[in-house]
Amino acid sequence: MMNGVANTGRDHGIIESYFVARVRSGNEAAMSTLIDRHRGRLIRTAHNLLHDRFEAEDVAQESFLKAFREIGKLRDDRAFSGFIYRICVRLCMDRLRLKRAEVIEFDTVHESEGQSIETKVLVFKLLDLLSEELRTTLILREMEQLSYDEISAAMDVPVGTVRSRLHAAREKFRRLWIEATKED
Amino acid sequence: MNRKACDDFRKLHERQEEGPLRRRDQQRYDEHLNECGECAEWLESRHNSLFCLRLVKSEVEPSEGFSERLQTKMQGLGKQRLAYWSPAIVGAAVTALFLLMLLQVATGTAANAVKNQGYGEARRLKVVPSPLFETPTPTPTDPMP
Repeated sequence: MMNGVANTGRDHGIIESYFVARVRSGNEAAMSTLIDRHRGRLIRTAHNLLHDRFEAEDVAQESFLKAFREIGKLRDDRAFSGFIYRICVRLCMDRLRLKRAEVIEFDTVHESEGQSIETKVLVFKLLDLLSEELRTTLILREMEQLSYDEISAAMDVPVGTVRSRLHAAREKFRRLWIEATKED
Repeated sequence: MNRKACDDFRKLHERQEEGPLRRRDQQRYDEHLNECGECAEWLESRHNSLFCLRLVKSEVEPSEGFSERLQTKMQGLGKQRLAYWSPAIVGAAVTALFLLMLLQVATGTAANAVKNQGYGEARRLKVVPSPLFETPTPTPTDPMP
């Protein structure tokens, strides 16, 4: 079972490196393949962080453009997935810094996405009360299920910082949650 | 309730989020949870809040035309890059060629001068003082008066 998982991971890396090598030589079909492979995850991550699906798509597109433009910086072709993911998270963080003062727009929340609108609005509202660093760290861990090391790489901070931010973010979110649900 | 024990329990809980605890720590964790109502309440609220966070995880799919729009932007980018780099690369190449030719001419002239003079003659010309300060001496080939 473990061997199977390891092989799948290795195969994924090999396939990835094959397409990245072709992108390096300017092959557009390989670019399309990489876009198809990664677009869903990037859009969902950006949507989790920004709470706006149009902005999320915008960031995902920007991530692809940046990744292809800077593909020369990628040392290991098998690591393209992490490379573009880091770009996407950093672009989201840049946008979050810019729109700190903005008020959340609830019309970006769609009921068709599966959860009740009330819960979603409340969670988004509470997340917006956290600082940009705490919020991003919490989302990457709890929604994106990244490991501490992956968060550290994505946010370009030491693992110790991830640990302390997560501790602070979980506790603050818990307190906000209690206050908000008590009011009801 | 023991404040220190509660702090210890919460620290262990944080560690547990990162990976499984050692057996002794896990035992300490479980024991405190059974004894302390406040920590049990804390843990419940913690689970509930994080559960709701996970519940609202995005499930959006790329909109129609996402890839096409991106392809268009990429084509534009390709043209921009070509337009930006072409004159720069051509200019650099021409300058490099010119400098190379200049270097070739300069080194060629110096080499020819040394070659035509001969090694001994060239060195003599360099060492011997200017003929202005020399007294003229008759050469052996001069005919006797």
